[in-house]
Amino acid sequence: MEDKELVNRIRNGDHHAFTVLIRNTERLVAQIVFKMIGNAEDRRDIAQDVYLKAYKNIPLFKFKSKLSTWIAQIAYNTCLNHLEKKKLVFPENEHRENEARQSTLEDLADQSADLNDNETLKNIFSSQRSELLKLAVNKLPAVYQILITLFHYQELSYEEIAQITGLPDGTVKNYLFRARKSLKDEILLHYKKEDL
Amino acid sequence: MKTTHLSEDEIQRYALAEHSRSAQSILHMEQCPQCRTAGLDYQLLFEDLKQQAAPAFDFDLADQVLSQLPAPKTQPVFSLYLIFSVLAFVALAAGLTAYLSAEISSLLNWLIIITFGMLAAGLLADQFTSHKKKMHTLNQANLQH
Repeated sequence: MEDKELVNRIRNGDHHAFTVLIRNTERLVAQIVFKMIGNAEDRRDIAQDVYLKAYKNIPLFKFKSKLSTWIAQIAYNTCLNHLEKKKLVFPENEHRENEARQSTLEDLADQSADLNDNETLKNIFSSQRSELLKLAVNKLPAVYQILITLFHYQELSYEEIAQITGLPDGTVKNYLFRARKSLKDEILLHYKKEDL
Repeated sequence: MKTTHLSEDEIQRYALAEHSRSAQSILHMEQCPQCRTAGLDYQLLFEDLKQQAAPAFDFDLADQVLSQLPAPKTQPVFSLYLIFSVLAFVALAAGLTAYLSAEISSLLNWLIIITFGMLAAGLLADQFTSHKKKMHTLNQANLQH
């Protein structure tokens, strides 16, 4: 069903249409909430809060973005507000995030200088690569994790990600570039260490 | 062809097949094994990222949310159209009763009225149920498309 029809039905109080909206977008919301909120109970409350806000504000939805992007934007902002209210930062990533903000592309180039040119991801078994990737993703600052998930897993465009996070397009591209490079280097470094 | 190796940014854009990559960088990739390997690494990484397990809520989010919403707006059981139809029917029946009571014996009169009334009520109820059922089926079908 098209966004417009779904929105009109929800505006007319059709709860079944709202259930359809939740089912269509809850995976996207989960990706954001899980990356930003560490506590399981908080995640439960926030996920519900996201949709209650969406229901309340759907009369104001102007179709300037996709409905799913709008929901993801609510999810992202709800998580940020929760973290600010509780004076928290993204889970376990405070110092890394600060580091990431300051790091430059040159820093990353230095980090990977130790890598042998012959090291490639192709040489690592798929299952091992998957494990290493999981570790590497968890090491990324939370904002990078969200960008990587939204771009590579949810396959959203740079513009959609910028709408959701409120970051400028250029910043989204820059962060994604750093995150990808960091992931590749981290996997190869880790593999090399294990190999020694 | 570009003689120096591509930058990391150019390699990523190549791996993503972005429109912004230059013809020169594409040509370079085709002829430089080192940059091509780096590009393949990124492509492999992107494939692996797509395969990563996604987190999911361990409760029924829709159920939890719906239980907190205000009650849905329901259509009034008797629409204005239906009320006017019933009133018209009652007026007609009353008029007919008055006319018949002057003409026929009272027992036969009531027999005719009750039979006619029951038939009409049955037909009306059947029409209403069938209408509701059709609307529900239509709504369901629309939601699934």
